Amino acid sequence: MHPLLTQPRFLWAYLLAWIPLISIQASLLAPGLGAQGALLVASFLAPVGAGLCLSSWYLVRTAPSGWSRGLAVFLPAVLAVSALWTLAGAAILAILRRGWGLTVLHPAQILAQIAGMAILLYGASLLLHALLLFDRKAQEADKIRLELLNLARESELRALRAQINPHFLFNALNAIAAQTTLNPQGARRACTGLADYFRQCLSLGKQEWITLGEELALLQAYLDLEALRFGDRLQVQWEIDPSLKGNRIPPLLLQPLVENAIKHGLGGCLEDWLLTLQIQAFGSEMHILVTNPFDPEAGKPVGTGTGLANVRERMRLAWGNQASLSQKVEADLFQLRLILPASLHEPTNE
Amino acid sequence: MSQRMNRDLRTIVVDDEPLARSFLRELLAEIEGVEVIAECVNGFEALKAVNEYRPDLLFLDIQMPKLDGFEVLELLGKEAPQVIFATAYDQFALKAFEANAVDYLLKPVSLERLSAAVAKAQRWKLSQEAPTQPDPVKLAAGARGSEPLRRIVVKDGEKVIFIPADKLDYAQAQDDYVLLRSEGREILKQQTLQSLESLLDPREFVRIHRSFLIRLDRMKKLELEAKDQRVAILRDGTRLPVSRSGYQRLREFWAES
Repeated sequence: MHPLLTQPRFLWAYLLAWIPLISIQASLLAPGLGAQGALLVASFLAPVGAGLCLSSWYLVRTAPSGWSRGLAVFLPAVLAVSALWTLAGAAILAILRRGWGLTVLHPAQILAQIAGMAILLYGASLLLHALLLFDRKAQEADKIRLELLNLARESELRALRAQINPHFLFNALNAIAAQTTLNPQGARRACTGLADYFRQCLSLGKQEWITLGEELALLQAYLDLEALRFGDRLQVQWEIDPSLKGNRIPPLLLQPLVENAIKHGLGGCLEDWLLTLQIQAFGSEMHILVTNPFDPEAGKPVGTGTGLANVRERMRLAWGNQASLSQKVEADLFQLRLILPASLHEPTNE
Repeated sequence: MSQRMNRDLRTIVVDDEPLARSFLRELLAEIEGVEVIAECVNGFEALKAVNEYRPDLLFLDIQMPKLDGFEVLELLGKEAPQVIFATAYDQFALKAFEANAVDYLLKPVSLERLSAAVAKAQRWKLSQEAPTQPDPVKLAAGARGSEPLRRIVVKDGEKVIFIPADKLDYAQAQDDYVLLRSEGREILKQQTLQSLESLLDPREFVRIHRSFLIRLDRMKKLELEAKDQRVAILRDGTRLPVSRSGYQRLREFWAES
C-alpha cells in the first residue's frame, strides 16, 4: 500500500504539491506554446506525471538492494517512464492542436523539455521514495529491538520472581513428616497448606501486578508454615491500613523480605521473636515497614544476600526511582522501609 | 522398651526446631542400639550437655541461632563425641566429611538412611574405626565455606566468647595456644597461630613475626628500633616486634594496596 494512500490528507497534500509544479512546467513551456497553451499542457500532463511518480514507490520497494543492482533497475525505469511521459505529452499536444487550435512552435523542443522534466521529476520521486523506505525500515528495526528488550526483561523478571527457597521447602517437609504419627491432622493441614502456598506463589508469580491483599494472603500462608517449625517463638504483628489492600504491587515483593527477616533475625535469636508489619498511606505513597529483633553479633548465617537486592531491582523495574527500599538498625531492631507509589492501577509505560 | 545393652549408643539430639527433634527421636526409637538421653535447643545447651552426659553420639543441626553446628564441634574440641549432621542444607557435606563426621543427613530423613548412619556410628565405636580427631578449627570454616572467618569462638569455662574479626587487635602464639587480644581483654584459645592465620582475611591480618599476627588497621606506625629491628606500634600503645620476613610481608601488602 502506498504510504500516501493510507491517509486521504496525504494524498491531497501530494496533489496540492503538484500545483506549483504545474506552474513551473507551464512557465518553462510558455515560450514555445504561449502562456495559455503551456498552462493547459502542463495541467493535462500533471495527472500523468503524478501517477507515474507515485508508481516509483513500488519500484523502490521491490528493487534489489545495493547500488549497482539498484541502478541497473532504476536507470531503465527512468528512461521508460520518461518515454511514457513524453508520449503522453505528445498525445496531449496533438489533441490540443486538433481540438483547441494550439500553436506549437518547435514541437521537438517542447517534447525534449517535457522529457527533461519527466526525468527530473521521476528521478526526484525515486529518491524521495527511497528515503521514505529507508525511514520505514529503520522504524521497524527499532520496534523489533524494543520487543526483544521487553522479552529479555520479561524473562529476567520471571527468573527473579521465581526465587522460591528450596531450604524452606525441605524444612517444611520435615516439619510435616515429624507430625505424621504424633499429630496426623496437623500433618494433613500442613501438607495442604504447603501445596496451597506454592500454588499461590506460582500463580501470583506469573502475573506482572497483583494487589497488596493478595500478597498479604500469600505472606500469611508462608508464616503459617514457618510457625510449624518455630512454634510460639515466632510472633507476628500486623498493622495494615485496610484501604490499601487494593493497591497494585509486583508479586512476591514482601514475602522474600519476611523470609529474610526470619532467616537472619529469628535464625539468630534464642528466645521469642516478634516481627512487625506496618503498611500505611502517606499522601500518594505507601509505606511498608518490616521490623524485627536482630542480633548484630550473630555470625552471618548461610545464604546469599540476593534476597534484598532482588527486591530492590524489581522495585526499580516496576517504578523506577519513584520507589525506594532502605534499612535501618536501631538498638537491636532491624527495620526495612519500602516506599512505593500507592495506586489502584498499574503504572502505564511511557 | 528396648533392652538396655552397654553397646547402646548414648545419643543427644541438637536442633533448634522442636518438630525436628521430636521427629528424629521418633525415628531413633525404632532403631536398636540407640538411646536418646537428652535434647538440646541450641549450641550452648549442647556444650553443657556433652560435658555433663559424655554421650557417644551427637546429632547436630547446622543452622542454629548464635552458635552453628560446626562451631559447636570446634568448641568441643577433643571432647567431641561422634557426630551425625542433620540439616536441610546440602552444601556442607564436604566440610562435614573433612570434619570426620560419621554422616551427613538431609532433612527430611528417611528411617533407612538414619539406620545406616547409626549402624556406621556403632561400627566406629566398636572397632575404634573412627579416624583421628579432625582439626577443630577447620570446622568453623566449614559453615562459612571458603569465606574468611568473621568471628572467632572460644570456650571460657561454661561460657562461650565471640570475638568478631574486626575487634581482634592481634594474636600471639603461645605453644599450643594462641592469645587473642580484643577490646582490652586477653583470651586464650587452643589453636595454632598458623591455623588462625589461614582462616582470617589476609587483607586484614598480617603475620609480622613468628609469634604475632596483627590486624593491620590497628597499627599506628612502624618504627626502626635498632639496625634491622623494627617494632610495630598499635593504636593502644602496644609494641610488637616485627621480624625481617614480617616486614617483607608488610611491604608486599602495601605495594599491592
